[in-house]
Amino acid sequence: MSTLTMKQDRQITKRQAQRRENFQQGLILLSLLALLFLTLVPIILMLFFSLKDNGQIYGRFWAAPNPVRIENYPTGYEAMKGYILNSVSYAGASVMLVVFLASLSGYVFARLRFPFRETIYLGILALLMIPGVLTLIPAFVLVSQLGIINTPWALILPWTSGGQVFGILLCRTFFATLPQELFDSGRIDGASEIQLYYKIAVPLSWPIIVTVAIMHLVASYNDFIWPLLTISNSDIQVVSVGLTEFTSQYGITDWGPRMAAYTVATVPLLILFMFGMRYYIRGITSGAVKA
Amino acid sequence: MRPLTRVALLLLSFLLLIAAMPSLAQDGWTDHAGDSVWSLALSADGSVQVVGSRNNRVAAYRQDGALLWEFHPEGTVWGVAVSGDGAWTAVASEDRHVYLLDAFGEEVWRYRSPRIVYDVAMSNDGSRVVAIDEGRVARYLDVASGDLLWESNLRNIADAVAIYGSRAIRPIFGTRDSQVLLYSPEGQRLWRAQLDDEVLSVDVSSNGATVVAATMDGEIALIKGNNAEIVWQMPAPDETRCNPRQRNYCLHLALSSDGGRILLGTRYDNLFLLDSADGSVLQSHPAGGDVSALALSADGEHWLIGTRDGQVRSWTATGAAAAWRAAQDLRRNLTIGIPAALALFVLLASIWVRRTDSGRRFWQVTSRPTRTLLLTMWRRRIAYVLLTPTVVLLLIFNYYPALSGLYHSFTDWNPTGETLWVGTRQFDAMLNSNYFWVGMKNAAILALSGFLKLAMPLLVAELIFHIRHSLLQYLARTLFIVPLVVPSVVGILLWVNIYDPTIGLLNQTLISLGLEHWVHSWLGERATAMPAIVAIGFPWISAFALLIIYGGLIGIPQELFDAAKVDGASWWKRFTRIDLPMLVPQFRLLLILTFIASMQEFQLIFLTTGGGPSDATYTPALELYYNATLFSNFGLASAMGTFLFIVILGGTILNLRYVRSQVEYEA
Repeated sequence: MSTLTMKQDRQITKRQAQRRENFQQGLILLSLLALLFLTLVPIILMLFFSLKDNGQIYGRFWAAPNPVRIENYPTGYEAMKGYILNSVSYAGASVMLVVFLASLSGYVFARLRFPFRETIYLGILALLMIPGVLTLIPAFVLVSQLGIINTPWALILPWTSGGQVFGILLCRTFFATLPQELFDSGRIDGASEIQLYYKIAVPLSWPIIVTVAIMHLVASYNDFIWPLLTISNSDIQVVSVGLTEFTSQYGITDWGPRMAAYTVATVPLLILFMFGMRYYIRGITSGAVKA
Repeated sequence: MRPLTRVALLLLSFLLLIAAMPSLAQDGWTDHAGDSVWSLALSADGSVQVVGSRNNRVAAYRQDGALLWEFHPEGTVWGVAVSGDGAWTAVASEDRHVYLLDAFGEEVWRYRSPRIVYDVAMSNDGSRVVAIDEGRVARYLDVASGDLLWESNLRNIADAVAIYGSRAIRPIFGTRDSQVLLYSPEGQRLWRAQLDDEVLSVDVSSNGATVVAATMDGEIALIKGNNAEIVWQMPAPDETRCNPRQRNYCLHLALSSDGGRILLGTRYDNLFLLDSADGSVLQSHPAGGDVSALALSADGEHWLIGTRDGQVRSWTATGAAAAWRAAQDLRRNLTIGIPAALALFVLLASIWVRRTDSGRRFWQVTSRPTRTLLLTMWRRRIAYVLLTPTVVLLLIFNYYPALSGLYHSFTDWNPTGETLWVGTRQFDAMLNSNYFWVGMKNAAILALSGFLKLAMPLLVAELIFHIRHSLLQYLARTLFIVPLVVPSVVGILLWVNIYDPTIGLLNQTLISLGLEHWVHSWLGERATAMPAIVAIGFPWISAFALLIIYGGLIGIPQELFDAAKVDGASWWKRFTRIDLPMLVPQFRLLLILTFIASMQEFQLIFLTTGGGPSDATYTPALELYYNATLFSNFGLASAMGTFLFIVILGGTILNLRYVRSQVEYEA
C-alpha cells in the first residue's frame, strides 16, 4: 500500500468523523430545541392568550389574535400594580435587612475569633434542617400574639429571620477567602472591627452580597403560603396570593386580561434576572457545593 | 469538712427552716372512692359524710373518716342527699331508682323512675326528697311513705337541685336552658331566673334568702331568694372554661346555711372560699384534682371535696383556714427568705474567699478556667454585640416556633384560651385519620415521581455539555433557565389553564388530533387528578436541578475525559463510569431537596385541586393547613408538623448515609 492511499484513507476517515461529529451536534441541537419548546409552552400560551379576548379563545382557539387585544395589558396592570408594589417593597425591605445582617454575621464568623464561635454558627446552620411545615402554624400563632398579623411586618420580620441563615452561610464562606493581610494592615492603621467590616470586607464582597440579595428577593417574591396565612387585607397583599384573588377582587373573569396580569406579575422577576441572572446562578451552584 | 460543703450545708439548713415553719396539712381525712366522685352530702354537724361514685357505690363515713356503711345500687350514683341529723340518706342512680336508706345504710324504700335519675335533694328535717331525671321531670317524694306527692315537667333537663325550708319545703332547680327555678311545696313554679348558660350546680341558704348557681360559661351568680333578682354574676376566680363534655367536673359550688360563704371547686384543681356579699376570694386551696362534687355542712365547719379521679377529702373549716394562713406565710417567707438566703450565701462566700487562706486557694484553683473564658469573652465582646440582632431574630422567629410546634403537638392548643396537655392523643387522631394516610401516599407519589423526573435535567445538562460551539452552549443554558422568571404561582396557574376542560391546551390538542374520547376534566376527575398533578411542569426540566447538574459536569476534571478517550471508552461507558459517579454529590442534594419539598407540598395542590376531588389529591401539608385555618385545631396541626419533621429528618439522614459519593469531591 502506498503512502498516498494511506493519506487519502486518513483524510476520508477524518472527513467521515467530521461528518459524524456534525451530525451528532445537529441532533443535540435539534433535541434541545424540541425540549426547549416544550418547556416554554406555558409561557408561550400565556403571551398568546394575553392578546386575545374570551370570544377568540373559546371560538378560534388556535387562531392568531385578531384583533390583537393589547388593551388586556392596561387591565391586567391595573389589577396587579398594587400587589406588585407591595411585594417589591416588602421583599425590598427584607432584602436590605438580610444583606446587612447576613454580611455582618458572616463577617463576624469568618474574621473574628471568640469563644463559642462554632457552637453559635452550628446553632444557626441547624435551622436549615427545620422544615417549614413544623414552624408554619406556631409562627402564625406567634405573629398573631405579637399583634403584627395582617401588617407588612408579619412578612418582613419572618422573611428576614429565615432568609439570613443561607446568607450567613454564603457570606462566611466568601469572607473567609479574603486575604488576612488586608485586615491586619487595617488594624495597624487603627481601624475598629466595624470599620474593617464596612471599609474593607463589604467593598470587596459585592458579588456575594448581590447574590444573597437576589436569591432572597426571588424567594420572598415567590413565597405563597405564609402571606396566604398572615395577610387577609387585600390592600396590603402580595403578588403570589394576589394572583389567586384578583379575579374576585376586580371581577376579571376573562382569560385575556387574566393572562396579561400573569405576564405583568412576571415583569419584576424578568427585570431582576436581566441584570442578576449570573449572581443567582452563582448562588445556586455555590450553595449546592456547600450543602 | 471542706469549707464549700460547710457553706452549702448552712444554706440548706436555712432553706429547710423556712420551708418547715408552716404545716400544710388540713385536719380531716382522705379516701379513694375507686372511681369518679359524682356526689357528696353532709349532715348538719358533719357527723355523717356520704360519698356517691361512678362505680355504683354509696359510702358513709364518720367525721374521723371511719366507714359507717356502704350501699350498692345497680348503676352509677349521680346524687346523694342526707337529712340534717344524718338518719336518712337519699340516693339517685343511673339504674332509674331513688333509694331511701336509714342510718345503717339499709334500704327503706325505693322509688322507680321512668328515666335515669340525675340528682336528689333532701330537706333538713328529713321529711321530703326531690329528685330530677333525664326525662325533665322533677318529683317531690314523702320520706316517711315513699309516696309521690307531685311531679312537674321542667321543660328542660335539670342537672342540679337544692332544697330548703322546714315547714314549707321548696325545691330549686338549675336547668340546661340556663334557668334557675323555684317551686312551692305544692308544685307551683314561684319564680324563674334567667342566666347565660347551662346551670351546672345550684345551692340555697337554709332560709331561702340566697341562691347561688354556677354555669357552663364559667360564671357564678348570686340570686335573691325572694324575687329572683340577680345580685351579681362573675367568672370563677381562676377563669375556668367548661365545655359540655366536662359538665360533671367543671364547676361545683355549695353555700353555707347562713348564706354568707360560697365554696367553689373547679376543674383547674382549685377550691375557693368566696364571700357571698361581693364574690371576693377569702381563701384558695389546691383541690387535688378536677373537682366533681362538693358539700358543705350546715354549721359550715365541714367541707367534703370529691374529684374526677376518685379522691375524697374531708376538711374542717378551721383546718382550711389554718392551711390558708400557712400558705400565705410560706409565700411571704419564700419571697423574703430566698433572696435573703442568697444574699447571706454570697456574703459568707465572699468573706470566706477574701479573708481566709483556704478560701483564697480554693478561689484560685477552681475559678481559673472560668475566669479566663469570661475574660476572653469580655475582650471579644464586639463579636457578641454584632451577632445580637441575628441571634435575637432567629430565636424569636425560628427557634421559638420550632420548639413551640414540638411542644404543642402534645396539647389541645387553643392560642386564645386554655391549652391542655393531652399526651399522644393528637398523634393517635392523626394516624387514625383516613385523610392523613391518603396524604402520605400522595406525598410518596410526589417524591418518587420527583426523583424520576430528575432524569430530564440530567439529559439536558449532558446535551448542553456536549455542544461544541461555546456561544450556542451559553445560549442553550440561558434559555433553559428562562422559566425561572415566571413566579411559581403563575407557573402553576398556567398549568391549571392547560388542564381546563373546555379551553385547556391539552384537550384542544387532543380534539384537533381527533382524539375526542381522550378528553378529560383532568383535575376534576378522581382517576386523572393525581397523574395530572404529577405531570405538571412537563417536560420537567427544572432550571434549578439543571444548574446544579450542569455545574457538576463542568467541575469534572478534563483529564478524566481525556483518559477515557485514550482508552477508547464508548459514550455510554463514559456516562456511567465517569459522569454519574462524579455527580453523586449533586444528586444527593437534589434527592434531599426533592424529598423535603414533596413531603411538605402545599402550594401545588392548593392552587390546582385543593385536595379534591373528594380526597384524591390530599397531601399532609394541605391537611395541616386546613386543620389550622378551617377547624382551628392547632394541636393536631402541630402534631402533623412534628410528624413531617421527623419523616423529613429521617429521610435526610438515610440519604446522607446511604447515598455516598465514591470520589471525594471538592469544588
